[in-house]
Amino acid sequence: MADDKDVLRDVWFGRIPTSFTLNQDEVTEREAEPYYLLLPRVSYLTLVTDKVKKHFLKVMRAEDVEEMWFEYEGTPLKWHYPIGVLFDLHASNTVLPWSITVHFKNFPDSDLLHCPSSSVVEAHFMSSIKEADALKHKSQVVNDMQKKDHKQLWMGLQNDKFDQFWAMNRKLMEYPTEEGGFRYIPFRIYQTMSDRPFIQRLFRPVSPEGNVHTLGDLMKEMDPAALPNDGEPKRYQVVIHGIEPLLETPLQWLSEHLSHPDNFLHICVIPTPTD
Amino acid sequence: MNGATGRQQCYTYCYTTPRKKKRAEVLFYSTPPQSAVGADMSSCVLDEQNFYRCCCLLLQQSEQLNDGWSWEAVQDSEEGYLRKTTLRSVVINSSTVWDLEGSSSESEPSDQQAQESEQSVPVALDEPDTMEDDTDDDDDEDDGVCAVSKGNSKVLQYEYHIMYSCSYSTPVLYFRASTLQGRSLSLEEVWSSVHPNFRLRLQNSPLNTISLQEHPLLGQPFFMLHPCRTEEFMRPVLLAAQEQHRPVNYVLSWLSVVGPVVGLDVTLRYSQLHPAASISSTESD
Repeated sequence: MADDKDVLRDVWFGRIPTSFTLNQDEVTEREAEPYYLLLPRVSYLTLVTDKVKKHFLKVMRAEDVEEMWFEYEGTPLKWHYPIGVLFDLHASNTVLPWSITVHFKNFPDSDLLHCPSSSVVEAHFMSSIKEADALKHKSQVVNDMQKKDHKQLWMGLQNDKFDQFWAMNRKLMEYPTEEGGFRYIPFRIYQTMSDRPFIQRLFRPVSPEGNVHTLGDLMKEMDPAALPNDGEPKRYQVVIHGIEPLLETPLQWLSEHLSHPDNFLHICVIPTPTD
Repeated sequence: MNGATGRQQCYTYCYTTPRKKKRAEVLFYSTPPQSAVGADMSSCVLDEQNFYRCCCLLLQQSEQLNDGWSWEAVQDSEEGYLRKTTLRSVVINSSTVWDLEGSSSESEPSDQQAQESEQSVPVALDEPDTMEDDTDDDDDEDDGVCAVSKGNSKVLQYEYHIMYSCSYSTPVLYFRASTLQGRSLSLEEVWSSVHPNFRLRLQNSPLNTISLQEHPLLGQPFFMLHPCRTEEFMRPVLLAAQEQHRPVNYVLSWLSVVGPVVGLDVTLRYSQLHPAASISSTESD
């Protein structure tokens, strides 16, 4: 359907205007100007911030530079989460541009994974795709692909090539028509108010009786506190790619159209802003 | 601390209902033994309930053997993970990369492991049953065996977690390692403490490998042994056991395969305990 294809493009090309400011405790030879960038929602911080690094390296000495890491209002940002998820989770109801602080020292290795090169990002990305396919197809589709097909998925993401990516990714979105959907839906639910980093469990898109499961069904099962009780005002927003899909939306459709390139539906539960 | 109540919850879960007790032995298989060998791939996976039952049993046996496993429950639910910490002595060479030297794998632990005791030093000498790191006899280069300099070993603290992956329907091993001063080991350091035999196999397939991941319950960086190939190596184990009508603890069997790769020994004494021994004792209640 033409409309659905547009959704895929809108998701892929979503951007977040961001300003990068150097942490004031970093040692610089002259003052560092902030750097502005439009970040792709579907990519990863360490993949798209080479220019940020180059910019700040111009005013720093090499010996003062260790692994770069990012922080927003005191919270270290997990590069292995898609950028859009980080934004929705931490800064969605704040004024744009998103103000991220850049660090080159004191890497918080009890909070953040190290990311010495883009091959680490690639391994993480492919691992997510593999896991998603384990849930959707018992890994049959991803295992039938060749190494070059896997590479195509990664290169598509790395180089921001929608057509190249989806030429391969569409295979991961197929399912036997008699099944009505994937075996299980790959999803993760994030909330800042929880100790747990995310909720991830098995959930089918269609019930054994043939009822189509919706986003609301998923939330009721996985995180009922996120949903408002009857008559009560909504305390939380259920956000995917910066929007609140209707809770009646079929989960299978969401999985096919609003997943990230890693094939997971990343769902953020955030407190409703009190204006 | 979570451990005690968590363990109680684990036991309560396993042993409350008479129905569960009777079926316990059957349930150690991932599927009922009557299912055909060579059935579809799903016959050798572990569902979540069975994972918890296997953990329960492993926990009981670990207590008998003083092997140090504990159960960490998540917030009053049945969900949780097995946890164990050990001290491990590893030899470093002069370039401060841990080096596991020699060709034989780690010796079998000759005693049960108390939590605080050092594990066997993973330094191979010509006689595999020697456990000292005294290398008076072995200062010469041997085929592919490097000389070990004395007094260059470091004690590291390892913490292992066994969790359930619902995506792969298998257990997953997470671990972290640090010096006694609290410095976390890097991935390179962990890699070089993996036995060369394992290292080669792991490196050939990036997704069978050790990588740094976010712990799904704690949110902190842990090393993880990727679970996507678990079903492959567990299948022959489970099928053989089914054919011989032997009960199998999936988690224990799995652990005995993957544990040694990352320095976690699984004492052979587990096999000396009858897998259903603790079950039959409760059945008589």
